[in-house]
Parts: sequence; structure tokens; C-alpha cells
Amino acid sequence: MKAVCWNGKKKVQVEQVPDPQILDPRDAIVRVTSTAICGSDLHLYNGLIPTMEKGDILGHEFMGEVVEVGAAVQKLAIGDRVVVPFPIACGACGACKAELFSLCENTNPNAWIAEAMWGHSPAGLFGYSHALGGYAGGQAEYVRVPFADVGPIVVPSGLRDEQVLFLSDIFPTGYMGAAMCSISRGDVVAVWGCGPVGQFAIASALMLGAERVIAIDRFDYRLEMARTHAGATDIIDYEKVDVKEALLELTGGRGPDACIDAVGMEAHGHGLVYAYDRLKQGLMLESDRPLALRQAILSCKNGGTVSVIGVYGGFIDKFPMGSLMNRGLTLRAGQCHVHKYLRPLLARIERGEIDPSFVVTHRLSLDDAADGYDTFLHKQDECMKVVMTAA
Amino acid sequence: MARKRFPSTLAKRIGWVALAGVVVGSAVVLATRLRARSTKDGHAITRAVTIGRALEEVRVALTESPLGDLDDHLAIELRAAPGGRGTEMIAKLDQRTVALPALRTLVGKHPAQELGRMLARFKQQLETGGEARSDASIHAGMHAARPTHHGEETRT
Repeated sequence: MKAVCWNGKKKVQVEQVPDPQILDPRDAIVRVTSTAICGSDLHLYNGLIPTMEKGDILGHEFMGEVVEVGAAVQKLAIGDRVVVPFPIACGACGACKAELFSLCENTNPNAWIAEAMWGHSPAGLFGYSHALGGYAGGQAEYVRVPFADVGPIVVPSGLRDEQVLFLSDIFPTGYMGAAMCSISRGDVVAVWGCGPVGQFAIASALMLGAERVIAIDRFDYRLEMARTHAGATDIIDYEKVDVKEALLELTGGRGPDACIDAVGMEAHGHGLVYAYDRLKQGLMLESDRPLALRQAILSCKNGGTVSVIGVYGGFIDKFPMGSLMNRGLTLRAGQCHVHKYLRPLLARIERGEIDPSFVVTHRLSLDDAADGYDTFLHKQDECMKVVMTAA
Repeated sequence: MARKRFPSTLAKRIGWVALAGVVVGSAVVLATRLRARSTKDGHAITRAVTIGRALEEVRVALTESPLGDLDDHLAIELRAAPGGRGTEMIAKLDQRTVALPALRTLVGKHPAQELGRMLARFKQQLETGGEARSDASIHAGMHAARPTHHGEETRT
């Protein structure tokens, strides 16, 4: 089969690899009909996530048709059309029972690597480094899905792939980012980063009752999409205005009730602080550039919540702990517990409350994956989201 | 004409002092890491896991597991986890010294990591009925996360 393989920093290529096989009676094999490049795939592309091996199959946003099931699979049948969550969860451990599926205790065979980096291991993920399991990803014609009775959700035929594909990651991730803010009616929420996850965080904050949602980015087309499609009430271009001052003005000096960091480890900025972070990251003295996170903490109102859904990999510098502590902020974070949100968000799509396909700007063949990564990385042609099909 | 040497000499001295500090600091850190640490009761290696199963079920399963064969070197304590979360399993390996612990940790071969993996497998068996295997982990050592060659035939 064809698969998109990681071959080093900024090197991905479509290779012919063996088809996946059932390795465990609880596995299913899915023929991938649609797969997308995630913003977090760019961290892999840029070589910032350790424990990648040349030849790893990428991709954790995918959906398709079940073509084979293991002997122990009971809830799926051949021919089912499914969306697969990016975390792999067993459904039986303490974390899964607490609906913390991305923290599953049983699905990372390389837990020792994650433990050495982070203290404890989260769940295994599709196509996202060996520290997170070494599972082949879904940017391929076929993919093996472990614990097939726990993760995949069968989707109705009346919905197009692009309407449901993003249930695999970015829609639930954006939603969880808003849910972690415990939004009350009348709240003001600021969202750093208007990539696809940021767009869904904005839309979700409004769904959950926020009165105003402020979108922050540097690309006009992203800010425009945030306003016209996601529903942001206000936008801030951080290259044109001082973000904190603009937020204070928009909130009567209080600061937003909640701030969502949908940027993560490769934040951009300007001035000395940005140069400092670039230098430290370049010298490997810090692994991540936390400009958006610092700004979110310093901008949040006293007693507010900072919700982190942008991906961080390791260590950051100049973390404003004093601000967090002295002003009584709540910091919440996490890889999305996708399984928890699948059904309620599918229901919202079915009811027509949201059509997640609004983020799709580029449709490519799997053969053109390398171009897709390059276009997405450099934001060429107003690229927001790349969806690929194997056909 | 004699060159004014004072600033460069001072800079060199500061540089040597800084370098010496880095070397001494690194040596201290390394020595600390290489020293095998003991728990309060003298065991060098302790690992623990919470299994979402009742105490008696875990006790019975333990007698049938490879962990039970390590009785001479391994002390295992089972106790009920608080909040109805199942059973806490504490394993203590009778090994007081480990050569090159930092290096072994780096490559995942520290006895503590190996013990941790055994406990994780035991927990997985009890909670899920099997062991999670990824496309890479079914091979020894690092291996690309992609299907293996024995299934090279393509689907139609």
C-alpha cells in the first residue's frame, strides 16, 4: 500500500509499504478514505518531536471503511464507515473509566520513553513518535486500529467525509479547550492561534455560552475565517497591535475570563522575547517556544482560566509562575480525550449546528502529501487545512 | 608599542572559571546519577502499579504469571487501592547496585524500567485481556512504525 512516511526534518514522502495485518484479536483494519494533515504533524515535520524513526508512517486524523476485524471485535463489522480518534484507548483502565482516554494506561508499549521525558506515560497515539507508542499512522491507504471496539465511531452515510473527519482530532480538541474553561454565560474568551484547532475552539466557546470570543493570529485569512465562519466577535492581529493592551481595552481592563492557547510549541512573535526563544530553542536550551502561553497567562483576568490545547513537547523557559500563583489562575491542559466528545459532537453535526468542513482549503491526493506538508507549513495559498484521499 | 592586555586576560580568566564550574557541576551530577540509590528498607529498585481488579483476583493471577517465578529476587506487596480503584501492587527487586544506571535508563535497559514493563504487562493482561502491541514494538529495538514485511501482499 501507499503511505506517507517521515524521513527526517522536512522530508516526507509517499512510499510503498506492506499492508497492515491484524496483530491482536481486538484490531480492525480500516481502508482510509480521507486523512488530514494536523498542525501538530508540522512539529514532526520540523523535527521538533524526539523519538521519530525514518520510515514512520504519519497521520492521526483519518476515517474510512472497516475491511477486516479481529476475532474479538464485537461492535464493528466489515463495511462500517468509521472515524477513528487519534488517541488509542483500552477502555478498561482507571483513566479510561474516568473518561481521560488520552491518558490510557495500557496502550503505550513504549511507556518507558514517555516516563523518562514526562514522569508518567499518556496513551499511545497514531503516527506520533515512538515515545507515544510507535503506532503506524493513518496517512496511508490502510491502517491497523487497535482496541477497535473502544475508539472508532460509526458515522451515518448522509454526512460527507469532510463533515465528520475532524471528529478524529481537531473538532473535539477545540471543544475540549473551550470546555476546560468552564464557560459561564457572559464570559469573554480569548483564543491564541486561528489554525483549525483555534477555529473550533472559537466555535465551541460560543456553543458553550461565551458572549464574546476574541481571536488572535497574524494571518488575515485566518482572522477572517475566525470572524466569518467560527463566529469570533473580535479579532486581534498580533503583528499590528499589542495583544495585552488590545485585550484590556476589549474587556474594560479586566482581561478575558478565559484564555485558550491553541498555538503550542512553535509560537511566532516579534521583538527581543521572540529572538530569545528562537535562540534558546536553536541551542536546545529549551524545547518549545511558549510565547502564546506566556501572553495568555499575563493577559488573563484575575482568577481566570488558561486552557492549553496547543501541543508542547518538553521544557520551556521564563514561565510566569508568579503571575499564575499570585493572581489565582487555573491552568488546564491536555491531549484531547476524543472518545468522550465523539457522540455529542457528531450529534451537533447531525443537527446542523456546525459543519466542520469550513476549515478545508486544500484537497489533495495522498501522492501529493509532500506538497501538502510544505504548503501547510509555509501557509501558502492561504492554506488552512489539507485533506488527502488515497484514490 | 605594548598591547593593552588587561581586558582579554580578565575575559580568559572568567572563561576558565566558568568552564571549570561546568566541568565540576557536570561531574557532580553524573556521580549522583551513577550512584545506585536505595529505598528506606535497602531495596535498590521499587516499582508500583494500580490494577483495576479486586485484590483476590490479582493475587490469583500473580501466582500464574512470570512475576511469580521471580520470588527469590522480587518482593511483591498487594493492597487494596483507596477509592475502590482496585489493587495496588508494589514490587521490590533485591538489587542494591546497578552499573551505569544513567546509560541503562537512556536505552531503556535499567532493571527498574524492565520491572516496570513487567508490571505494565501484568496490568494489561488483567485489565484488557492482552498486551498492546504497536507496529514498532513487535520488534526488538527501534524499528520504523509501519507494518512488517511478512504481510507484504496487497489488498485488492
